[in-house]
Formats: sequence, structure tokens, C-alpha cells
Amino acid sequence: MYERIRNIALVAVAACVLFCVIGTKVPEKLGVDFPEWTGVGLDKSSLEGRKYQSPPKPGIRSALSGKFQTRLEKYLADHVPMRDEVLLKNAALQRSCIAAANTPFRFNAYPTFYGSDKYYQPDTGIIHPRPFSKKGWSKKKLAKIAKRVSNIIESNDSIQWFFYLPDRLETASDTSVARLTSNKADYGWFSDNFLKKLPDNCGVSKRLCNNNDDYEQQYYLTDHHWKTARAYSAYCEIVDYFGRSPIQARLYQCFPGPFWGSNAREGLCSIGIGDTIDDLVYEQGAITVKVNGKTVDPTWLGGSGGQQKNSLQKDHTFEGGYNEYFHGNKGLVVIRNKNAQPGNILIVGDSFKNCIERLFATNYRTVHVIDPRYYSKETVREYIGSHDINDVVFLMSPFTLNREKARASLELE
Amino acid sequence: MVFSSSTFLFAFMPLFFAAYFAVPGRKAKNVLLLLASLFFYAWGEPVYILLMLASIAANWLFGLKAGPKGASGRHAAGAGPDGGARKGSKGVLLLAVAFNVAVIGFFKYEGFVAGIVNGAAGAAVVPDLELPLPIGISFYTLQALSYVIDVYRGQVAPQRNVLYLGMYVACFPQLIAGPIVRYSTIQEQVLGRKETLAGAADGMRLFAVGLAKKALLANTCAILAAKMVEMGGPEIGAVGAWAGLVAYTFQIFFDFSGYSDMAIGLGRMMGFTYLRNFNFPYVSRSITEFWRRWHMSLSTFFRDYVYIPLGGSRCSVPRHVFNIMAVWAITGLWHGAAWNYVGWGVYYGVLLVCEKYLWGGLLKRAPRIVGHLYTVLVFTFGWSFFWITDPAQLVPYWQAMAGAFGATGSSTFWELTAWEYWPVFAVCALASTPALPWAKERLVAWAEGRLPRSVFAEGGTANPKTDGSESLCVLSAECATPARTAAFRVAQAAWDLCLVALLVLSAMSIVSGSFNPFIYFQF
Repeated sequence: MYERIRNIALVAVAACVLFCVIGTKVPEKLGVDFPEWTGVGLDKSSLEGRKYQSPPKPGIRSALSGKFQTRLEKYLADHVPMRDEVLLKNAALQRSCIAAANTPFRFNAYPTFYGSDKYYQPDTGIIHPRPFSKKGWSKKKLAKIAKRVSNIIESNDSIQWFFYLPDRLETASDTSVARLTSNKADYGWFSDNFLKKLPDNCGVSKRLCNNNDDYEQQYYLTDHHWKTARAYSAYCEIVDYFGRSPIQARLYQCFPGPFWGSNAREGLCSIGIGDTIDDLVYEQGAITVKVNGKTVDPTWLGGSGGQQKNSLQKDHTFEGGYNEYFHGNKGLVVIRNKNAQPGNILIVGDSFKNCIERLFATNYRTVHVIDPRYYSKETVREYIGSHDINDVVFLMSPFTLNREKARASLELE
Repeated sequence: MVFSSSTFLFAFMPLFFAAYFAVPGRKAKNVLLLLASLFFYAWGEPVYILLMLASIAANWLFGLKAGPKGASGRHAAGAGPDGGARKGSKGVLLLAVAFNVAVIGFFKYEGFVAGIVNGAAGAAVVPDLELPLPIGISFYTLQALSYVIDVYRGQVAPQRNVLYLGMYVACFPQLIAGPIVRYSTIQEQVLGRKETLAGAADGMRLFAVGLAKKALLANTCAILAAKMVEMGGPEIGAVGAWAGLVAYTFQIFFDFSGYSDMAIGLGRMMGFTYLRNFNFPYVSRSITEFWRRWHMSLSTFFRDYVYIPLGGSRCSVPRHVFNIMAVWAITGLWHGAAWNYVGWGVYYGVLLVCEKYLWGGLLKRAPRIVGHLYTVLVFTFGWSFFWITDPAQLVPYWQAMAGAFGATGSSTFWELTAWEYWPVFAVCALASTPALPWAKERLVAWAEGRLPRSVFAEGGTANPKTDGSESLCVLSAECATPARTAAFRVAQAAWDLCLVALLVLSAMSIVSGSFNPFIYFQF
């Protein structure tokens, strides 16, 4: 009798595991409501930053090509109840095994799971990305990119130019992870092989982050972006170079968090202290904003608009606090401030610019902002030619220089 | 479709078994199993399903015609009037062998042969059709061939129902990666098997163990192994090269034996009893013993259908050497259409000849640890050229193993990530030994009030003549006293909890999309 009960229990539990998708999706389709914590019925994941696979439509062509099979595999994996928890727990189990393996070696940082290219540093809570390797970047390739960018710069000497290459943990040379890594393509390497090859009439950024402590203060612990204070110092450096006075601003914590940013999400690692968001209090003035040609409310730019207020109200654990608080990436944004000093600036940049472009509106009547990854209507050179631009700043990380999508508008093809 | 996929775990398996247990009657269950197996195959190979159907039909006809005359009924096969086995039509047998060899030869070796011929001729004499390899062709062709040969030899009766033969050839548990199930093993089970609750539970236990071997151990080791090959010898040095090779050694064992366990467990749930395919090969004391424990269904196939017909060992020494080398060259070639596989087969052929005629006796007399170390070194090194098919990668890898690029190559020790895996390696090493059956035998012996016996002895839990579930999953005893019964029941419940935890963890790993390559899928 005991054997029978034992066997029934085992088969029943195994059946529950195997029927976990069918047993929830079928009732859901029939109108049964499941509690939110089960994750049943969700169509997107904040953790993975993507939409879940929708039910694939069967068809002979899709079955013969294997597309139907691939999509169904994805659909079933996506709709396992509590998927986010499953991913995080699975990674946490692997991480605990790696942490145990690290005991005799005492490395400062270790991978967030087997095969991960994100590394958790327990003493600080920083989640590091893998440093850039010279293997993935050839000097020749970088010199070629510098030449193409130089061509744009040299095509118009009535404009002031600045290239700001933000530090990233990937280009650090003295963090816990960087010290453990060989053959690094660090900031110095990019500076020597890229920034120094730009024409003399183009200002270039000075490096601000040198070690772990710098990064801890100036960059998010779990996200690849810079904190507002660090971004503000970049803004000041750029505006100074162009001969204007930066707007005075005061820092305050607008979102106490915690949120776990891109490195944490990709590393499936939501341990440690997470991140908070700081914003600036400053005199914004009246501005108008157009996004991809359409007028939008200025609040679209995100942030507090220069006021001290808490903007993020809902739970943003995995929402990607930086993008959520400021704004997502768009091809073209134009900000106008009638009361600002005369002059127009073009910012060509990636998401690092999203938190400071509004500050430039206090110094320029018009701020044109192009994200080369999403703007394909014309090249940067063509855009400059068709608008009245006085100053141009490139503000992008090495990643963007190497991105397929950005190559056309930067004329890197 | 592979067992370690979401489609199999969360759709095919639950729906199939729900239907299988709901359908009444043996014949209906067999037809359902055939249809499900064809669907399972077509999932990955929609076009090649036609090839499989043709193979089933042809071998069914060969079976009908190849048997001894009068061997028409289920019990008619076997001894002839003089007591010896009666044999059937040699012509039909040769035709069947030619057909099956032609099928596998064309689809698996066409490109390889074209490369050799064109290379020798210096021109494109034979076109390389670049045919995708039909999944599982190496396994189901051997099964079909063994069936026809056994019918010819009078060892089994021909299967008159093409659907049942189709069910045997295409049966989804062993279709893609074995074990190679002989028809003689299951002929009585086609109509005579019984599904029981105990069988279903034991099958599920074995499936959970197999899935855990694959998803938790093999896939984790695979991450390191793949990384080391990708980085290459100069970057990884001796530490990385050896760690990568050890990782691959564990990966291939847990990958393949895990798949076999899952297949046997699934069969068990349906009432089939397959023979085990692995019997702790990594504890062998010689290469001869290793091959008695590794992929046993393949070893016995080549022994019974190639080695013995060639004359086996009852012949002159040169002929015996030839027989061994021929069998091992074929074994290597069976694994893949590339020279590295042939080299790998010949490597084992040479070692087996040497053990037979040179140092086998010495090994037997040497301390056990010497035999173990020798065997571990030989098979671990052997996996290197099974694993790395490109000589341009293999040679630097060997150089790295020999220390030509220093301890860690151009990388730091931390970057190699090999240090992360020592707990995984420790678990793998333990799971490669019969430590669990040994502990289980101790527990059962205590509960039954008897002395424990060797796990490898006749009746022991690691006995090769069982399907393996006894050694890994089933925990039962005739307890000697009520107190021991109570304690044993707690142990049983704890054991089941562990198995359920393994199933859940494996499913989590699969859902997480962890690195999930499957080595024997390509054969």
C-alpha cells in the first residue's frame, strides 16, 4: 500500500510539472483568471525586456521550414508559469555553485551563472560586464571609423565639434574585473586608436573614471549607463568647450529604488542593493519637443523637468530604471527653447545622451538629437547641411560605433 | 525533437502519455505509439519521414522473405529439426544488408566519399550533394538490420504486421539516439507488455535521473568545453586545455547516458524493458572493460553482426587483429563521416589489440589504481579527437595540453573560468562511479538484515543484464523488522523527493534556455 501511495504521489507531481504549461494556458484561454504572481497571461517580460512568443499558427510551409517548431518551442518555454522566477532561481542556483567554487580562490568577482558574461562583485554589489577585448576590435577597423568621422568633421569648419566617448565598465582598466582580464581594449586603447586620430579642431572627452570607487560613484551598480551626476559633468565639459556656461543644477534622489538595470537583467542577478535614480533641480524654462517630427508633451523627455519631484511611482524592479525614468531611444528629437541664447546644437548619440539632452536646451535655442541607430532618413552630414547647426557633439560609446544600425547615418559603410 | 526540449517536456510527453493511458487495448496503444513516433520524427525531419517509412516497409518485406521456411508464426522461429538454428534466404539477407548499407551510405557518407574520390582524382568526379543527415538514421538502420539478420538466423519470428514493425523501428524513445534495441528484446513485449503504476513510476524516476544528467551535468560541462575549443590552444594553455577535455569527457558521458536513461525510462512507462546502455564505464580498469560498459547496445551489435561473422577470436592471430581493426574502423566511421572518427576507431582498435596481445595480462596483475589511471587517461585523450574534428584546431589543442603555451596561455586563470567548475566536476566524478548503487545496496541490505553484495555481481544493482533502473532509481526492500520498515520508508520518500527536485531543476534549466547541445543527435 505504501509503495502504491508513493508511486501515485511521484507520478502526480511529475504530471503537474509536465502539464504546467498546458494546464494553465488552456484554462486561461477558457477565461480562468490566475493570480498575478503566477505570470500566466503575461505577454511580455520586464526581466528579459521582450515580448513573449505568441501562439504559432500551424501550416505546411512553416512546419516544413521548421519555423513552426522553433516558435512552438519558444512559446512553451515563454509560458511556463512564473518564468521570471524560474530564470532568476536557476541562475541563483548556478551562482551559488560558482560562489562555492570561488571559496578557495577568493576572486573579487565571479560570473552570475555558468556561461554568463556578467560578473557579480559581492563586496560592492556591482554587476560588471565583460571588458572589451582587443580580439573583437582591430586597430585598423577603429582607424577606419576615425577617418570616416573625421571626413564629416572636416567637411564643415564653420562648426565646432566635440566627440565625447563615455567611459563604460567594458573599457575600464582598473576595476576588479578589469584587473583579472587580459588583452583588454580599455579606454586608453580607444583613446589612442580613435579619439587621438580625430582632427585637431574636434574636442575630445577627458576620462573621469579610473577605478572601482569612481565607477561606484559615477555609474549605476547594475546598469551600463552613467548616473546623472556623471552625465552632468559631461554636459558641463561639452558646453564649456563650446564657450557657453553650464546651467547650475542641484542633485536629489528622485527614485529610491531599487531597480536592477541592464547588466543585472542580462546577468539574471537581482541580489545586492540594486540601484536608485538621482535627478537634477535646475531652471528648465519653457520648451517644446518634437519626436520623429511629431510634437509631444515636454514631459516625454522624462526626468523631473528641473523640478524636485518623484516621478517613478510603480514597481520598476526590472523595468530598466534609466530608460524608464528618462526616455527610450528615438531616431530624432528636437527641443526648442525660445528664451535660450541664440545658437543650435546637434547631438549625435546613443542612450547615454538621454539623461542630459534637456540640459542643452538651457544653452541653445534648438537642440537637435539624432540617435544614429534609429535615424535612417538621412546621414549626419546631410542633416547638418539641411539645418542651421552651430555646434555638433558626438556622444556615444564604442558599442554604437560598431553597431550595424548606426553605420549608415555615420557614413561608416 | 529531443527529450531535453520544452516541446517534448511540456507538450509531447504529457499529451502522449495522457492519450496512451486513455486508449484501451494493446493494438490501439501500439498504433498510437507508431503514429506518435512518426510525428516525433517528422517534427525535426518533415521530409525524411518518407525515408523512414520506406525503410520500415522494405525491412518488413525483407523480414517476411528472409526467415527460414515455415517460420511464419510467432513461435515458429528458432531451432531446426536437428536442434541447430535454421537459416533463411541468404539472397534476401544480402539484399537487405545492401539496402540498409546503401541508405545509410548515401545519406551519411556521400559527401565524405565524394571528398575522397574528388581529392584523389583532382577533379569533381563525384558531386557532393551536401545532404543533411537524417536524424537517427545510424540508429534505426542498425535496428532494422538486426531485425532482418535475426529473422534470417531464425532467432526471431518475422513480424507480419507492418504497423508493429514500424512501431519497433520508429519507437520514439530510442529513435534518435538509441539505445539500439534488438527486436529479440522486445518481440514478446509488442503484444505482451503490461503497463503498471509501478512501471510508470519507475520509468519516471529513471527519466528524471536521465534528464538531470543531461540538463544539469552535461549541459553545464558543455559550456566550459565549448568555450575552451572556441578560444583555442594558444589562449587557454595547459590548464584550460585539460579542463576543457575533462569537461567534454563528462559532457559526452552524461549527455549520452542521460539520453539512454530517459529512453529506457520512457519505454518502461509504456511497459517495455530495454537493456541498459551504460554501466559506469569510467570506472573500468582496461579499455577492453571500458567498451563492455560504454554504449553497450552498439558494442554488442558490432560484436554479434560484424566481429563474430568475420571469425571473432577463433582464428589466427593476424586474422584476429584484422577482425578487431576492421570492427573498430567501422565503429569509428559509424560515429561520423570524417577521418577523425575513423582515427578514433582505429585508436581503440590498436589499444584493444595491444591489451589482448601485449599488456592486458600486466594490467590485470597491476594494482587497481594503475588500471583505472591508464584507462582514464586513454579514454580522456581519445575523446580529444572525437571532439575536435578540425586538425587545425586539434594540433594546437594537443600542444596546449602538453604545456607548449604555458599554464594558462594568453589568458588569466580567472578568465579561463575552469575554476568555476570544480564542484561540477566533483559531482560528475562521483556520479560516474557506482557510489549511489553502492550506498543503496548498503541501505537495502541493512533493511533486509543481510550482508551487502557487490553491485556488479549477478543480481547486483549495477548488473548489465538489467535496464539500469534498479541501480539508479528503484529503492525497495523486504524489510526485516517493523522499525527498519519505518526507517526505510523515510529513505524512500526522501529519495523520491530528490528525484522530483531533479526533475524540477532540469525543467528550470531547460526553460532558462541553458546551453543545450546534444552530441549523439548528429550521429
